[in-house]
Parts: sequence; structure tokens; C-alpha cells
Amino acid sequence: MIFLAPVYLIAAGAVAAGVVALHFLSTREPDTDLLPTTRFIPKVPVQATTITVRFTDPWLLVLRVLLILLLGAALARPLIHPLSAPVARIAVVDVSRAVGSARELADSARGYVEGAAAVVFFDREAREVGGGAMDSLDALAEGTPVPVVGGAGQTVDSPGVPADEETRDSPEGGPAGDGTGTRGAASEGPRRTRAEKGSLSSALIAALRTASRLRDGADSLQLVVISPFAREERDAATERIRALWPGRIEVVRVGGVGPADGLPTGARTALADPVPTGTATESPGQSPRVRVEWADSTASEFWTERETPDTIAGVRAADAVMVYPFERRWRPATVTPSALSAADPTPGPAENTLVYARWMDGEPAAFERATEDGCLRSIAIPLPTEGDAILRPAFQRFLAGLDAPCGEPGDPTPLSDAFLTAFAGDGPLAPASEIGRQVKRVTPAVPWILALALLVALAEHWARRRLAKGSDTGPASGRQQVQRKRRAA
Amino acid sequence: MNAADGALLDAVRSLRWPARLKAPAGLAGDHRSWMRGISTEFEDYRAYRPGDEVSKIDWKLLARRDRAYIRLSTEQTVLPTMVVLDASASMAFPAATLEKWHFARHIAIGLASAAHTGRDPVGIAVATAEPGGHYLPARTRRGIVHQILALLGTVDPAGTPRLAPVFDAVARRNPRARIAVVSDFLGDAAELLNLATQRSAAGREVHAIHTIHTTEISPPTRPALVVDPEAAQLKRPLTDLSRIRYLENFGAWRERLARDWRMAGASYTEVVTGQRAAQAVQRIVRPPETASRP
Repeated sequence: MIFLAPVYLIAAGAVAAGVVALHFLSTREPDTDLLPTTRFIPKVPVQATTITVRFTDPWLLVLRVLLILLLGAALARPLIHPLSAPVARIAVVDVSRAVGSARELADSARGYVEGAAAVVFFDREAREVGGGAMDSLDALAEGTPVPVVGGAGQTVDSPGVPADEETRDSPEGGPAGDGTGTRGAASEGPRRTRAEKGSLSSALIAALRTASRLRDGADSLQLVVISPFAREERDAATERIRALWPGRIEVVRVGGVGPADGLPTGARTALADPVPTGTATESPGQSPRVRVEWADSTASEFWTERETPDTIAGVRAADAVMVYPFERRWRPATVTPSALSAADPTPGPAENTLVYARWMDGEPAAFERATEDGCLRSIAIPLPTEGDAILRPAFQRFLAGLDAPCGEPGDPTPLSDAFLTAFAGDGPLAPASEIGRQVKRVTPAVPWILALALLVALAEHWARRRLAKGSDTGPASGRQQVQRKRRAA
Repeated sequence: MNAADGALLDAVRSLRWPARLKAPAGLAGDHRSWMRGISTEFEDYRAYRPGDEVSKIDWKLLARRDRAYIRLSTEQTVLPTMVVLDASASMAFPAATLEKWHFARHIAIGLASAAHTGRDPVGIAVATAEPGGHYLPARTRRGIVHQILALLGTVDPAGTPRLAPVFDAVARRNPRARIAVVSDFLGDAAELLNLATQRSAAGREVHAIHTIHTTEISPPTRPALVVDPEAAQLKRPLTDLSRIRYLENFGAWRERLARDWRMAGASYTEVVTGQRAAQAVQRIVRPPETASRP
């Protein structure tokens, strides 16, 4: 048996020792003798406090000490059956859109999820999964949206991760064939229609919270992160949050949606033809399918050619800001107010279309429109043909984001090995003692109420002594005797 | 009857208890009566008044003085004596030996014996916790003292009986009697004093024999918690300081008690255990002119 808060037990022991010491101080009545003329002795308190070298009232002492120790033991939160495993594992599984293959993810995660003390699934948000973690992984591997039971018992949709190649390309209208895929369980009413971008920061915070809960039951905590570690999953706070974990992290990298060479198809096409127009490229091995087309005079669905091209200093797509004297030759074609979203009042050409990039003056520079099997991104941004602008990080992120899954712009390019090495860290597992304890809400009134209870207990003791003293009546009048009889009754 | 009782009876065999006041008229006895008659004991002369019996005229005096005088003499009568004995718990002290009770019992027996020696009817009433107590009417017969002795042998002092009702009942049943109260007066002393005052005002003798144990006069010096045997809730610590206060209070109370009883016209005698009961009885029955203050 172990105690999670042994300080209470120590305090109880100290109090019990005080009680034992107090039992040497005996307040008692001395032996009595009969004297018929007692009434002539002046009325003074009949109790005397004496220090004795022997225990007085041993059974009372035993009861009091037992009571105090039991209270201390209760507050010390004993664990009769402590966790046998010295290491508690927390498996953090990435189920965001950056995951390339659900089966690969499930196969990689299964070994870690099995036997884990806690499992956390994360995409944009992270939630701890209860006992159904293995079932959720199996469902993910089969490419079906799976309701997983959260830590609090609520049912949440499993995040959409792309099924494996066979499932995705099946012509029988599987998750990929019917244009919905497993990404976001698109076909089912309120379920998300787009996969969420992952967030390593959210995953780490969830892992820290889970570790706080598990710290009292294990000596060390092992954190395993199974993820493709795409660039879009990292944010400015990731490193800071990582630093809060006081040990190494087991990093298990699975395949993502980004190309292995880190250069998206759209970028390769663009680089092959510096002035791509009207060419729709398609990212292979990805569902829903993402097609990229470049503005062309023949393609008038999104763009119309300006009579007089102008020059603008830059364009912004997601977090990539490209500064370059672009020649702007195209402007948005048809303005359809119904296509405007409340959050984006900028005119767009058609329904189910969102602005993918904007010029510095706010005019759309690229659109993304949902199609039956994915999305089409139409780009009106000419790629720089001179200088090294194309090699700048902003351009690289922009080009990489062209192959990102439909929806919010992102960068599925895998994070560098150097980052992963720093992310994983080295050294031992995280000691449980260095994990912050869960903050327990204690209302400020609690100590005051306890103090009040103590005062009441003291008052009770005082009143009891007063009543005992009052029983020493001495000669009393008949009226007083009647009153005493009434009180006694 | 044990050896102590026998020794007591032997010691008081020669004692008589003369009346301190003239007794009401009654059967012929040893005590002077209110009535003036023609007994042989001359007391006074009175001038002859028409209607007096001519046979009571002192003819010799008439011859010398040439005036008629009637010769007066004092009647002698008996005086019934009732002893009222307190058998409350306070008399059962100390609890191991009941010394105070036995001393009071010997006082009562000694007084009864002294009264009976003078051929006075004698009886006793014991105030006990039992309803009605014990009552033995005044008798002159020979074995009355032994009856009293046997009766007291059956009494166990306990409880908090009231003495005043017993005194009142005795006074009503024996209007001529002399009443001696043997008690520690720790009960209904005020009410008892009131009745005794009325009795004394009626010209009857009342004796208060205040029985005290030596421990009550000089309590132990070791610290102790003492309890009133008649009120268990009355507990007081007896320390050096409280002992001094106790002696002051107890002494003042005894003085006040003696003064009140004497002012009521009663005879007050304080007897203390430790002295011989026969001597205490002798001091009680001694005529007033020879009695000394205790």
C-alpha cells in the first residue's frame, strides 16, 4: 500500500503523538471522601490537572489515536493496489489529414496503443480515448469513420485519415471512389466534411494533462507520438510546449500525404514550366483528389484576363507570404454573392469556392473549389522566372501547400529530421515526480469552514465543562432544585 | 444489645433527668408541677380568701399572727420524655464504622435511661427515610429502655428524612412531654427550630443535642474531594485553603445554631464523638445551675 499524499499521514502521526502526550496531563477528580458538613467548604472548581507518569484512560487514548491516524490515512489517499507497471505509456496518435495511410498508421500505432495507460488521438484538437482505442485503430485501418469513445465517455467522430491505396482507389465506390473518402467522414450529416489539420501543440498539451493524471500511479511516463510530423502540424508554440515534457519522446513516423522528396507535384509542374497556364495537375496517391490548374485565357471559369496587366508587390497564401514584383494578368471572373462566405466577404466566382490566396491589395489570387472527388485549385499567380525567389522558403511553403489536402491551406511536407531529433530529445523517460500534479479546485471557503468547525468543537468542550461544573450545586433553594430537576428531565 | 450498650446503661444507671421547668399537672412523680397542692413539701403561705377550704388554714400561724393563712405546697408530677433521633445519611458517618450514628444512638439510650430512672414515661421517635419512621410511645414500664435499644438496633441511617414533621407529630401526641432532639441539624434545621420555639413558648422543655463527629470539627489535612452523603452532587475540594474557610464557616454555623436554639427557649448541648457517651448524657441531664457550657 502506498500513500499518494503521505504528508497527511505524517501530520496525523504528529497529532497522535500530541494526544499521547496530552494523556499524561490528566484532568480528573481526585478520590472522594464522605463528609456530612461538605456544604461549609467554599465552592471552588473540583477538577485538578496533574501530570502523571502513567497513561490515563488507555482505551480512550487508543480510540483517539486510532481516529486521528485513520483521518490522516484517509487524507493521505492510500493506494492498496498500486500500479504494478513502473512505466505508464501515453500513446499519442495523429489522425489528422497529414496522415498518408490509415492502415500504416494503425499498424504502427497498434503496438504502442496496446498496453498503453492512455491513448490520445489528435488532429486540430486532441482528446483522450478510452477503452476503445484498439477498435478505433482497426476501424481506421478499414477506412471507415469510427466513433471513438472519449475519455469522458462521449462519442466523437473519428478523424478522417486517408485509407490505404487499395481502398482509396477501389472503383466500387469506397471511401475514395465516392468522393468522400475517410477524410472527415464526409457523407454523414453533421460529421466533418474536411479533415482537420493536425496540431502537435494540442497533442502535447493533451499528453501533459494525461500525464498529470497518471503521475501518481507510475514511476516514469513514456510518451509515444505516432505521426507523419508534417510541417503544418508544427506551430510557434510547439517547441515551448515540448520543453515542458521532462523526458524523451518516442517518435514514430508514419507516411504522410506529402511527397517523399518534399516537393509537391504542383511545384514540380510549375518548375518544369515556369509559366504554367491552364494545366491541371493531380497529386497522385491522395484522396480526395487535389487538382491544381493555372490561370489560362481559355479557362474562364475563375479568371478573366486584364486588359492591362499591372504589377503588385506580393501575395499571401496561408502562412506563406511571397514578396516579389508579380505581374498580375488575371482578375476574378464572375462575382457570385451567394458564393461569399460570411467570414470572407471577398467576391468569388462560384459556389463551393473559397479564396486560396490573395494579392497584397486583397484581391483573390487563387481559388479552391470543391469537386465531386476532391477539389480544384486555380492559381493566378505567375511564378517568378528570374532570380532565386522561387527558392525562398515562402515560395517553397506555397508550392508545398498546393498538394495539401483540400480545405485549409497547409504544408504536408514532412518536418526535418533535425527537428524530429530535437523533438524526441534524449535521456531517460519522464519521471513521474517531475510531472505537474493535477490542480485540484479547493474553494477558499474550505479552510474557513474547517476553522469554524474547530471553534465549534472547542466551544462544545467549554460548554461541556461548564455544565459539569454546574452540577456541583451546593446548597440550593427549592426553586433552584425544581429548575435543576426540570433540566435533568 | 452489645457490650458497649451494656456499659452505657451501667454508666447512666444512677443518672436522673430532672425537669428544668415546672411540669404540667399529672401523675405523682419527681418533678415539680405547676399545680400547688397540699403535699408535704412546703412552698409558701397565702392569705386566706373566702372560699378556701378551712382545713387548709394554718392554725398555728393564725394563733401567732391572728390572721388566717393558707399553707401552700408544690405538687410533684411525672414528666413524659420523648427522644427524637435523626437517622439520616449524614448520621451514618464514617461509612465504615457509623461512629456518629452509634454515638447518637447511645445518647438517646442514655437520655431514655436517665428519664426512666426518675420513673418518667419515656419513648422515642426515629426519623428515617422510611415513611412514618419508627415510633415507640412513652411508657413507664420496666423494659422500655430495652425496647428502645432493640428498636434502634434495627435502624440503618440513610436518606434525607425530615426531622420537623417527626417532631411535630411527637409534640401533638405528647402535649406534656419533654422532647429531646438528637441530630446533627444538617437537614431541615430552620423548620425544626420554628417548631421548637413554639413548643418552648408553650412552657414545654425542648432539648437540642447537637451531635458532631470529630472529623467534622477537624477534617483531614490531606487534599481530598469530599462529598455530602445526603447530596452526591455536592462535591467540594478540601485543600489547605478551603479547610481554613471550612473551619470558619462551620464554627460560625455552630455558634449561630446554639444561639438560635437557646433564644428559642430550648436547651442546646453539643456532643462530640470521641468523648464517652455516658459523660455526654450526664452533661445533658445536669440541672441548669450546675451545667457548664461545652
